[in-house]
Amino acid sequence: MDLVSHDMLNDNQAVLSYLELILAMPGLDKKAAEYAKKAISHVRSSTMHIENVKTIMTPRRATAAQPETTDLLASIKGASDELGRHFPNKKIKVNFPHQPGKALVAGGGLIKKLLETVMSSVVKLDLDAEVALNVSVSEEMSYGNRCWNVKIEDPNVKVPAVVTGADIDSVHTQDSSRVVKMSGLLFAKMAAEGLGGAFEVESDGGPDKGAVFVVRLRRAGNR
Amino acid sequence: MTSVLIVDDEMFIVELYRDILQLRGYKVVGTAFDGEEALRKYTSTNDKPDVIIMDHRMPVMNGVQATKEIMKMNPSQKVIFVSADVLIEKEAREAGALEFLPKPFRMDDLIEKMRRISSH
Repeated sequence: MDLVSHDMLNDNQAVLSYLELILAMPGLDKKAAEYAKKAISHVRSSTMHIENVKTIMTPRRATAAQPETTDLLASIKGASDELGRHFPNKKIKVNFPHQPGKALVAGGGLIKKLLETVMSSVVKLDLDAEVALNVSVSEEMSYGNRCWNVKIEDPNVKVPAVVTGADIDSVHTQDSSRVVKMSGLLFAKMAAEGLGGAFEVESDGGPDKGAVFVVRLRRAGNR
Repeated sequence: MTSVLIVDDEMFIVELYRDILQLRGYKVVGTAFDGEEALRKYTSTNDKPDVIIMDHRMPVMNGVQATKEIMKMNPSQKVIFVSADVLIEKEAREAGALEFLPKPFRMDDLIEKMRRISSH
């Protein structure tokens, strides 16, 4: 898998760079530029899936080391900053009110990757050229553990029935079209649960509710 | 004009870097498809490249090893390490690489690193 993913990333590098070279051509047709930007978005998505598969594979090889502690708020900011790269064809605004202090969680770089995956999955559901995500963080107790809840919401979209109508856990038993649509969410669930937290679709996208995804992570040092 | 040696075992990646760099006004003075070939070419020329773009996972000799050997010969050689293996960054920097770029990167990121490293 390691070798295959390495080669796939090399191929993605070439596709991405040649698309960028096309975009840099003087006098490029507006429609061609739009298509190239959409293609870049798909290369980024493909890269994210490859990285996620590598991440899922890694803990199976690792020893039981204590996960590194990281600041959740900084990870949210980092994941938000990456969205512009993922979707050069969209204008994305992440409304995340500045919160002073730190919110420590265990998970190191995996936290940013997890949030980036969820945010990207939400943006993919939104077909508008301009997307606004609302992100908030709150504390709560869950099964006796102090947790941070990260709520990611896009009031403009509905969570498709293909997602709400299926059990994420049994995704591998379902048809491939469903698996493709849910792979980002499957990764989010595996990663969050692997860290002792949870991932949930809080709203099923009913009228005026939009898409709401919640990542619950245990506070660092919380036993 | 800043001169560059490209080291990568994938022919299409070498060609890609050459396309990008030449378009942005850099001079590609050589290419190598593994670490050992890079060392051979580096040793045999008096006109050392200003910058080396180095991949890691290559046959015969990997990028970290090649960087170490080059730094033994010329500790001030500027190396930009480019790899799909993000976990190798620490080793690459310890070997002497000044910059690290994970694949796939944006063209502007490479050019920015080239500018930064060239002005050192």
